[in-house]
Amino acid sequence: MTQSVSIRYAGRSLFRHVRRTILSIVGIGVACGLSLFMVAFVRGEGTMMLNAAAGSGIGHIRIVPAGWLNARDNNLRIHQWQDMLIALRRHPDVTIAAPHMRIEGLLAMGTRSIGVELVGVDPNTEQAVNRLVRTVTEGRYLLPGEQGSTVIGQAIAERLAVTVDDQLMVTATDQHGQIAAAMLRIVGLIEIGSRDLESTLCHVAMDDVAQLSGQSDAGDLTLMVRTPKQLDRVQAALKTRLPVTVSVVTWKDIMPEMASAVKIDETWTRLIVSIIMIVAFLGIASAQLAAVLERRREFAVLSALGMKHGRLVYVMVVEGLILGLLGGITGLILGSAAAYYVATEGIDFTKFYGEGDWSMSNMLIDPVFYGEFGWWLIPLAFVLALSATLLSSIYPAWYASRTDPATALRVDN
Amino acid sequence: MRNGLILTVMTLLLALSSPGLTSEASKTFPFDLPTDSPFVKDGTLDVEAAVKYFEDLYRSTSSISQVVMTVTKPRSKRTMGMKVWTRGQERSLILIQSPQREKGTATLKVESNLWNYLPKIKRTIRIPPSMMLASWMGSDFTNDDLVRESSFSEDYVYRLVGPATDPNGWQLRFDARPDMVGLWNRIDLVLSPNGTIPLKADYYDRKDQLSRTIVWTDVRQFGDKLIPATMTLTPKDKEGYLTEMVYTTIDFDVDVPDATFSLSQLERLR
Repeated sequence: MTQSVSIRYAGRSLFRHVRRTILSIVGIGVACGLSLFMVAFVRGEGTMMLNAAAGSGIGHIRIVPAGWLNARDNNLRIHQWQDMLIALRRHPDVTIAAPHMRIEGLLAMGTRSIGVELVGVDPNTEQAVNRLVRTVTEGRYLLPGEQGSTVIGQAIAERLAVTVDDQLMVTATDQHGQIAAAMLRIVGLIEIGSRDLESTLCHVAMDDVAQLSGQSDAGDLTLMVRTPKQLDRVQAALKTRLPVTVSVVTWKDIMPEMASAVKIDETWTRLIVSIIMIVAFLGIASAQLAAVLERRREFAVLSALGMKHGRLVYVMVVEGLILGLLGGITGLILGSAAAYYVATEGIDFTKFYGEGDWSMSNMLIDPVFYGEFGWWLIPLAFVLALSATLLSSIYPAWYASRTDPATALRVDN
Repeated sequence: MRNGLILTVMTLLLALSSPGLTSEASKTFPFDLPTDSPFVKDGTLDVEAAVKYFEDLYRSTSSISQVVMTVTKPRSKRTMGMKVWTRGQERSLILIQSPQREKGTATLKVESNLWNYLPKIKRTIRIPPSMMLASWMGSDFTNDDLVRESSFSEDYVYRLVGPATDPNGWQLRFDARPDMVGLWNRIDLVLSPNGTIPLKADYYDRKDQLSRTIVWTDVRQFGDKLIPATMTLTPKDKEGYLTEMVYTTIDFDVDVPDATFSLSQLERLR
């Protein structure tokens, strides 16, 4: 009974100062909406980075020879990789498994040359695992069983002044340290829009790399998984199924600098969200305190009539919660509208930074950034708004409860 | 620079040892034909014999030579003096003797492997494949020119094209066999009218575009051999660049111990 009186009293107090109440709700709503937008954007950015890394040929997960992660030595190989590949392709968490052989080499045409990492691929699966080679600008991609052919990046082609059907000489070092050479006919050129990526792209048949390196085993098995957001679980599951001669690593292990960049980005966003919420919190606290000071005599009368200090605190907290609830709804409307727009339309950063090179650490980044949109926005909105208003009501409530009726009701006061 | 380099380059490019496949010697020479050449008979060139002769021209069981290499670039020119030891075609050692800044730098070739000793850091570095086509000592020659085996006679089909006028001589054409692994699709070589001296070679890349030219001049007597002492390489895609190598002395078939071509010797030279 007394609680419902307190709630009604709190509501009436808010309605007595409509303008201030609306301003408080709008303040909370804008801060909350802005925070929701930031969180949605960063979550989307994280997903994009994951997809960019995985889709740039790195994969979600890679099976590599034990010790590869520290040594990064392309001469390390996975023995009996064919059996492993079959087992991985049957694994319920794995959607695609593509084998690779890698070797450092030198492509040359006449007096021009360029160092590249020759990647031996399985043409049947490579385009599914690597979005960089899905679109061949000129010519075609490698065919299953085809040897002595290569698909290279446009930047390599320009550097060597070559085009489709030209023959390149490739030089590499075999497993015994001896120089091996072969001729490769260019069957396709790929233009990605990133000079860096195009300068490193050189795909050949696995058999060609095997001949040059003198090793027929695969260097890695690149996997795409069904649930990219559960990489740690899938990684742990695969570890239990594979021999100790191989390591199961994620794109974060392969590209720790990129994983760190994503982490730093997320930390900054949390910081920005915190700053926004602190500003909102101080605004609400200020408004609440002003309301308390205005109503000092009112609180003094209530106190003189016998209302306990705890009840006064309760009234103030309820006022804060009502503001928080309404602010949360406003924030949800504003934030979810913005988040929905960013999730569906995206933000095209080429409008701000131009069409330049959108690659980073051998990953091709999509210049149109998409946010995330989902049911998670609702609880987040109310958690943010209510926690902010609750915290900001504590001091005004404490101040109101400390009001001395005799002092507050003095005529000259 | 050195006998070995020239040897290698020459043998690479000229080494047409094994009798070629489609040699023909039926073209006539429109200028004054030499009367004392063993390779010009009945108004035409005995291509196989001439090619064999040139393959062996720079070959010897061993040699020690002094070479001066001048590298010209659009805005600079520098000259290096070097001493070269060779043993067969597989082994060579090149020691830079001047200028002072480069003195002590050495390159060792053993079969298809190449090492550089850099005295400033006192380190020997094995040249990786990624550096094989990089410039050797800042010249227009590449590391690959030093190590590439002289299998042109096996890798190319050669024939006599006919008389050449720039310079005067016999023009031979070498076309890469279909399965040949190499940079050059075709080499046009001009031999002197008597068929014993190389004068000029044009290298065409795999797109059949002229990529570089080597010109031999300044024919001198070294021992019992008459050899061009100067070789000038001009890359065609780099305007203003050229590298000239001049032999000042060559001693053929001298005693060069095996130990000369070792990593420890490479580091001991200075």
